Amino acid sequence: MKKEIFCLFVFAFTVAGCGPKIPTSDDPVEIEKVFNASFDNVWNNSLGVIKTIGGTIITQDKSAGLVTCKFPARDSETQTYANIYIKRHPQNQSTATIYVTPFTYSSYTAIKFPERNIRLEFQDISFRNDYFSDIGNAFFDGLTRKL
Amino acid sequence: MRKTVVMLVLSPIVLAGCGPKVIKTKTAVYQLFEKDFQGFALPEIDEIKEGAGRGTFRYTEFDQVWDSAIIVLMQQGVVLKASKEAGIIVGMGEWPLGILVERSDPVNVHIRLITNLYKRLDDPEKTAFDFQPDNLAKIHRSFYDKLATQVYAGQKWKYLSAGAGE
Repeated sequence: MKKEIFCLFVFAFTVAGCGPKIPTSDDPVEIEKVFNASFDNVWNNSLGVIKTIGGTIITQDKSAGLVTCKFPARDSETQTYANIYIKRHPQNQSTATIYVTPFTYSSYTAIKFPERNIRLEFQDISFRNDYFSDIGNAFFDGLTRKL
Repeated sequence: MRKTVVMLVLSPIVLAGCGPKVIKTKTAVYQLFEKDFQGFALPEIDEIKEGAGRGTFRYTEFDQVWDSAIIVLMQQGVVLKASKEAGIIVGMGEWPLGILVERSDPVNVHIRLITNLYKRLDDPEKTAFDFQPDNLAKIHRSFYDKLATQVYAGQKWKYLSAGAGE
């Protein structure tokens, strides 16, 4: 009996050790940050910082305050994107809040059988959030230095 | 022996003929990411309104709902395009969603799954996915739940005191 209990303990510790590791960062992951600068100032500098940290702007709309950018691909099937939203504060025009959400895109082949004798193989995509990447922190650090 | 050889040669041919026809293709959304969203146009207001989803947000304003809709969408995936003037945002997360925020009181928010993005490039008349009304309703409800949380979180619940003192 004693032997069985001992084995159960050892087994539990072994399994716990095999579990997935939660990614950690030395710095807290930041998605949102307030800057004491006008919207125009933050907008103009943000476009420069994106390029400085290796990003390429894909779409931008100043009136909406939105920029979508991508970063160099890790391999042929994954690509990292980031949404950057600069929010105006009409009641306090010397302040802007910025939100940054990085995502990793993966492509894969999906298989479906839409008809009895047809096998459809198509390229599909999926996303997972990549908040533990350094993109958010790198962007905020770069912007802080510029402003 | 000769019979066995003939059978061995014939059987793969017969079996191959019986298999399903394989179609290899891409979807419009896949191509969109390949081309960095080039050529992607925002859907028309009426097109989004034709979608089945509509939510009404009281005790708030357009700007608050607009900000919240962007923040919710950008946490779900990549925002493809937005126009504050038109009140339209299109985001690609698990599914491609088109959102219309109306400048109205109360603020109406329409939502539509952009099924066009699942058109097959080999046969644009067909889509790679079929969406059942139940699934669409779940997608809509999930978005509205998150949006309502984002809009009203941290705010005084005005409706609780709307009739106070009367």
